[in-house]
Amino acid sequence: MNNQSSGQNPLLLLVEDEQDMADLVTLIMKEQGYQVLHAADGSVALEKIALMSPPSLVMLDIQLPHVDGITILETIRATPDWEHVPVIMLTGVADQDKIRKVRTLRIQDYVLKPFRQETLLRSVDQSRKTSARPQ
Amino acid sequence: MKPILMSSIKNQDKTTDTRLIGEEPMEYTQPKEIGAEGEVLVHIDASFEPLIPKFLTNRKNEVVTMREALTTQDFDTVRKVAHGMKGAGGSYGFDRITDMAAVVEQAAKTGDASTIERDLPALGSYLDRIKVVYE
Repeated sequence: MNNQSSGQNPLLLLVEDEQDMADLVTLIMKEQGYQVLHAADGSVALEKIALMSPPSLVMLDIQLPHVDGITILETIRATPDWEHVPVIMLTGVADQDKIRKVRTLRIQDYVLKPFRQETLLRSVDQSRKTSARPQ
Repeated sequence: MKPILMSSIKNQDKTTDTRLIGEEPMEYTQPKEIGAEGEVLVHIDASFEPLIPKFLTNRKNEVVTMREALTTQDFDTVRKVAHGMKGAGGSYGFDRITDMAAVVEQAAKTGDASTIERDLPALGSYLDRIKVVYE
């Protein structure tokens, strides 16, 4: 059972190493009623995945210290209970190879930085309507 | 499997990043307003107000970091810092910061010290002249 279905405010795991970006996303998402758990690097994110119940949503930067976002995404998809959690990639990397790679790992969406608040929220809405669960 | 949504690409309005994968960053067209004594008026979402002082202080500190890095020809540090600034600037509503940081980032990628030496003072001056108007 993930956090969303437990009746609490939905939980977002935000994996972002740029503190100002993390602060901004946290502010935006808290206004939307989310609890936000921030992991500032890839190693911390992997610890969260290993230890905590799955959140309602993950936002994940691609370029991270220690462990990159693609590895974290692969771990999410290989972890029981986490494998169907919606994931939005936040990235400044307009790198076709990396985007193609994450698309094969059932992300719900990706948002290129810099982004507008409206763009991020639209992506969240779309992702909540979709699922990473195979049909 | 449900389709992967790429709403950040297909649904963005013209004020957001409409890059296709691999395209260069768009040219922002945020209107410039000049206030008293050379101030540059930048209109920012009022909900971001609690974050703005720290955001601007951090950007000014990053200009110092890049200047110091440039003295040792440490282009990798300049590139990384400018890359982060590029992503954060426009996300907070400071599109001009994104524009200027993108130029510095690109110059750092090619080891173009003269462009960086020219643009960092301009970026620092711009940051010093910003007057935020919350709306």
